Amino acid sequence: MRKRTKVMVAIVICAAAVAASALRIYFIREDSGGDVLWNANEAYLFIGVSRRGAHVSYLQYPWMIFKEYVGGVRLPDNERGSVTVIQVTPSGVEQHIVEVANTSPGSGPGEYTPFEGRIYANCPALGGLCRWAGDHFERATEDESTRLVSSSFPDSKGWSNRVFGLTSWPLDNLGGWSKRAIGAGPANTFARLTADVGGRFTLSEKSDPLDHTGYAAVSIYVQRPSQTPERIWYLDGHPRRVSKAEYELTFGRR
Amino acid sequence: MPLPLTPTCGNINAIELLTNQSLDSIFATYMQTFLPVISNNNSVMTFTGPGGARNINVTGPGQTLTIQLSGWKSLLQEDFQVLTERIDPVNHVISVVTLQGHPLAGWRYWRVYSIGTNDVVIETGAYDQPGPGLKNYSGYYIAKGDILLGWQQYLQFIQSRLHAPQGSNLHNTLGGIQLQTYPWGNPTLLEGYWDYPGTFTDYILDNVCQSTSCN
Repeated sequence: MRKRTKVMVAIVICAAAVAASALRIYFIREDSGGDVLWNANEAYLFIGVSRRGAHVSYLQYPWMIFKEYVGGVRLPDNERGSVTVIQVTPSGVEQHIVEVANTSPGSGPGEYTPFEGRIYANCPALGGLCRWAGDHFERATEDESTRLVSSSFPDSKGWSNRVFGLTSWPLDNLGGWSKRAIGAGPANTFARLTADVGGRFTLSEKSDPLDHTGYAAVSIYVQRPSQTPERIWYLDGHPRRVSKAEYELTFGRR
Repeated sequence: MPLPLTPTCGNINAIELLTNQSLDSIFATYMQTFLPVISNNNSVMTFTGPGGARNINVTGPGQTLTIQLSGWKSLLQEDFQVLTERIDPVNHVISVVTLQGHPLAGWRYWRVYSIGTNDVVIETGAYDQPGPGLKNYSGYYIAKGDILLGWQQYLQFIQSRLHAPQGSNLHNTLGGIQLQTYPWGNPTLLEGYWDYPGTFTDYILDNVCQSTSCN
């Protein structure tokens, strides 16, 4: 009887060990950040969102927790990027989501720069200078590139230090355009922005702290005169455990 | 708890890029702004400026930058901070010193320089030791690889944004100093080099504070 009990206990322990090494825990976090550019008539928001996922076995999980405790970082197993582009005018809001196929560092569009009434950017995936074409990014022409590189803008700190004619610096009424970073999260450590767009409407970022986490969901609102604020973007990207099904829905079947 | 001898060691990540962009532009666009580590640009860490500002503009010594590591637990890991020490737009160098609460105690620099026509090197190096306490001491060994990965991403970000191919002059040497070959094999300089013998100590500290002894 005693021997039988021992065998049973051993079997249970082995089964638990096998299950712990085979069964996995899935995590997702969504990091965001981008730029808002506005003039007296309209505003553009370009918000990059990186969905990062990690999956570990129950056996590996305590190590992951300990590693984070001592200041380590586990790199994501899966990553998916997109850019949400929102155009806001006094009369409406138009939103597009552009998938970023290559998620390696720096591959998404960036360094958004207004020029000749258009928004130009650095698009490594398109091989260089690109511009926002209403519902997608498209490669800028050689002529546009030449004009942008050789353009002489009003003196502004950093504007003379441009890569491909673009700037990553904030802008203050440069040719009528201003630019600031926006929509970063999920850590609730960021300053939030309010931008007045020519007195026609206001864009504002708000944080909704998530209880007991230190993280926050990020919202962006449009406030038009005499109207209630309209939320045009929301992201709760705090790191969280998800089901295998949700994970696979986000990143595809693993 | 008494700890064994505290390790103090240097580490360097570097990349050689073939680009016609000027050192001034690269320095201003990517290094003074810390663009490769703000927003969602790095999967290891996120930098913010004073007051949580996402636009960083490092122009002089004494500026505080906050670093947030990217974790998977629902509970936020603690932030930690560094203070700018050397901002040198002529030689294109930025250096920082860690502040109390940082898991490491020491310095880090970032630098871009030319080694030929349309041929630049961007590098970042650190000379540090664990912060006080057993937690930081164990983390120094357990998390050391993650630090290099974060800085590898920093360099890859700039490479990607410059649309620049890598050059081929950084084989086993940096700044005229030979890299030690380890029995377990050396990763590339882009992936990061640990300076166990201390060959690069003076080189790193010279970049940090233009002396072999920094404060």
